[in-house]
Amino acid sequence: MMKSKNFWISLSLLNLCIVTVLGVILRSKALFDLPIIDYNHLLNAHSHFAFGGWVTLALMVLLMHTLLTESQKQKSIYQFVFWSIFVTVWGLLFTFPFSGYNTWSTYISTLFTFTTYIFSWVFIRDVLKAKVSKTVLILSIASVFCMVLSSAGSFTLGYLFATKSLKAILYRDALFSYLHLQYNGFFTLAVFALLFQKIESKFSVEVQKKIYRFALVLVISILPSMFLSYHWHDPSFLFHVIAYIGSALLLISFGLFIPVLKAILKLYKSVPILFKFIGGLSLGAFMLKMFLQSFTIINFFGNLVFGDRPIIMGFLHLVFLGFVSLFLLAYFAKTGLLNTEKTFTKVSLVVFAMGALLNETLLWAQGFAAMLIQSSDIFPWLLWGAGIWLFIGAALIGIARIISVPSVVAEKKKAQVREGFSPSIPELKRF
Amino acid sequence: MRKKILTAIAVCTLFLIVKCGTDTQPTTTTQSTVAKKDTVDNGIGQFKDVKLTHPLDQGMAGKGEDIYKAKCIACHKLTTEKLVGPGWKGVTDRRTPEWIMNFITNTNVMLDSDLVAQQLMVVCVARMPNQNVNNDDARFVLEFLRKNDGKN
Repeated sequence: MMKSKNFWISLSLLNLCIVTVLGVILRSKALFDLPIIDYNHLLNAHSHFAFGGWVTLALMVLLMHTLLTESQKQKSIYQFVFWSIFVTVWGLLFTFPFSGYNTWSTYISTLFTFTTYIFSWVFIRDVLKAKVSKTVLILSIASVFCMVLSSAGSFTLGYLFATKSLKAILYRDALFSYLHLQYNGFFTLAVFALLFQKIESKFSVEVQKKIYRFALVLVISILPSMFLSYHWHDPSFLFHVIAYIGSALLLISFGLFIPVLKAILKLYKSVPILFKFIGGLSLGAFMLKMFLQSFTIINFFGNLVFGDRPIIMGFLHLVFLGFVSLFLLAYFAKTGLLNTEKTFTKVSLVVFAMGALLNETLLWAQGFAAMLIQSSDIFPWLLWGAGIWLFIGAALIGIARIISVPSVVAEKKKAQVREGFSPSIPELKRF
Repeated sequence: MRKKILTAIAVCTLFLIVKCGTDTQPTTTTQSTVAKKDTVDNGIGQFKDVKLTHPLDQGMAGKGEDIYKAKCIACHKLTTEKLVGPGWKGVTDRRTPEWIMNFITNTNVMLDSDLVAQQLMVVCVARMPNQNVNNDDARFVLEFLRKNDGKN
């Protein structure tokens, strides 16, 4: 069952919509009596679905379609992987909310993890043979490798839940390692692999070298900076040293990113304001993330941050919504996966981006208010509103996708027929 | 073919919902045994004997409410309903004042060694991080908890 890139992107957007619905229910739980819903079980569903159903699916589909050669894309194993990802995350959607980690959800998430292994194995072998630049190659391979590595964290967590032994240090370390490898590893590196695949060839050799240097340091920084997450429990001297190296590497790659950013800004000087807005927010979120992350090395900040739930939530949403989701949407818009010639699509994207910004502002405000011990019982209401806003944005994007994109395909087909050119099947599939 | 898969998903879904419905039972029983069990457990920490005033100190309760709104509201509701952590209604009936203050100020040690705290952690599937609440503030929160439970 070969399905086009379009089909999978539509499904990932549907999944994004469901993620926001779960988010709204979670925030409603803080305000209203909803005894049927178990917050933490639903939270598991929300996060697993966001990771798997939206970002992992979208990133895998884009990596496969933009980096690999035409003949590699035809492999049915990729279709199997995408189906398996889709079915398992939907399985999780219907198991986690009701019972959290139980036999079924653990079983299904194990299947999900094995699917990511299969993808990594096939993808790494293919991308080595595909004609991509050195930069894109190291970024994409490291990205997929981090995804595989992160499963060690999730297996440890599964074990801890199964044996009901939530030992402080192991629990936090497993959770933070998993999140680190997913966010800063898999997601971040995949985003840059996709971005540079798209734009690298438009730059001079000199700029390309700068991009390569940035990518290399970013990749190298992933493992040492993971030790920043262990810093809070005062581990051995060696751990501290590695964490310091990680922090330094993050700052170096931050520094190396600035000339790259300048080049990108120059390249995109004349794009419509919509891209500037969404792309700018996304890259801004990335830089803020790098900055904040490297600062957790200072124990004072680390302690403040790791116990302050709104701040943790703010950081997670900064990377997930601000950086990765907005990048994906900007990418969809730029490559025609979302038709930005229609005003409706533009409006939907702006609504979602504003929602992400609002959500972020509120979480940080709540987090800082908690640090300063300022009363803030208005925040749960405001956050609830932001959740609904994001849901409306995601729903509008979904609708925009349904009403606009099929017509694009039809028009292009018509145009090709008019020119007396009948498209071959692989070409049609590329849409 | 797609139809077949969709039907398969639907059947699995239904089955899972039924299965999960039966699975939630044991969790609720654990919760109620946790709730009933302890009246003498004072937890682990520096608080051995907390002096309460009758009627309760409204000023202290007010300060406690401010701390609640700033530091606790993201995870705890004032009703019996669990959010990230347990709901606070009735906690002063379930636990001693000493246990509550020890838990607030000595969170990590309690979660690693106190049996009741550990059971609660398993029920909630989440581990509360230390909130850096000092002794005075913990006392204010306790007073707010008493007020929330309608104590005098």
